[in-house]
Amino acid sequence: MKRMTEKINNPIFWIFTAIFLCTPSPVALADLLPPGHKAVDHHLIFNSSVALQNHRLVAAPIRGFHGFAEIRQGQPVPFSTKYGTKIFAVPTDYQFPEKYRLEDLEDFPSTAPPVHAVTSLSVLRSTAQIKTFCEVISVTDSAVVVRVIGEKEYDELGNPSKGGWSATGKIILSVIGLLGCLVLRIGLSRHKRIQIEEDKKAKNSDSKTDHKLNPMGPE
Amino acid sequence: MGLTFVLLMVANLLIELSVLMVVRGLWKDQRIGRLLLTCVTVNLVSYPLAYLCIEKDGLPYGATEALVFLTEGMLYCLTLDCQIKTAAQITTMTNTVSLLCSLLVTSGLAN
Repeated sequence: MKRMTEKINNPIFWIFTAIFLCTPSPVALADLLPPGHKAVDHHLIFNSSVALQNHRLVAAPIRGFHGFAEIRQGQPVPFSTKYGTKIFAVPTDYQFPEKYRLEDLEDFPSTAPPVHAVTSLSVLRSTAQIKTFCEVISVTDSAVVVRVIGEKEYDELGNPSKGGWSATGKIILSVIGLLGCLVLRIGLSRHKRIQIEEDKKAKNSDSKTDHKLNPMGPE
Repeated sequence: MGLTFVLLMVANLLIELSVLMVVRGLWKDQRIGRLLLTCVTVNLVSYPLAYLCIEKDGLPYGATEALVFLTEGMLYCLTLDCQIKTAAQITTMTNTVSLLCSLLVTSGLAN
């Protein structure tokens, strides 16, 4: 007990405990896949839009060495929050340069993807691919306005992911377990009480027998 | 690959029951049947909550494990009416083995 108290009073113990408890969530670790997590693909899909009559969409990163990609309606487009993918609206007659340079696109109206890219998920989930469906609402001189229509998750075979047990189901199961613990505890208390009563009875009957054997009491 | 919640919970339970069967001699004052039954109910409380935390990235790994350790320790202590030391021993042994197994399995699945 003394050694335990010494440990608790030691600041190093608390520093290590804090580090252990604050081990960052896998979401915060961009490229690392911590145990229990798997990589997933996240794509944007743009539906046809009246706002794009005079424009084409281009996805290009503002960091890293990746090139640009033209966004075609209904086709999945990979994007990255880490590399800061931006969506640019260029005129329909725009000639794409042979080599990508961010400066070539900077003058065109642009926007960031409407969602953060999901790079990894818990292996407990069946999802292998996420598709976010978007629509361009308007293109102004400086910005592109995009809204999310919906998001779908797919498994490795391309089928929609199954939801599995819901959070409510799991909480209900926990409550059932808690009730089970309570029943076991009540059972144990009752068993102990019965045992004490039996012991008392046994003691009483023993003393009565002694009394009958020696009505004058002990000498 | 997505494994079902029930399958994983049963696997976790079997691992913890096996550990308890192996080291049952440590707690001679506890009836083994009662110990195993308590293990089932305690895991029924902690496992779904821990699964939920990890699945939804609600809590870091370390914090989730610490939460499981504390919850199970308290429940063992209350349900078995034993000393804190005994409850801590039970929960440490069972959870260490099941955590190692889960790390091995999930690392394999992620690769």
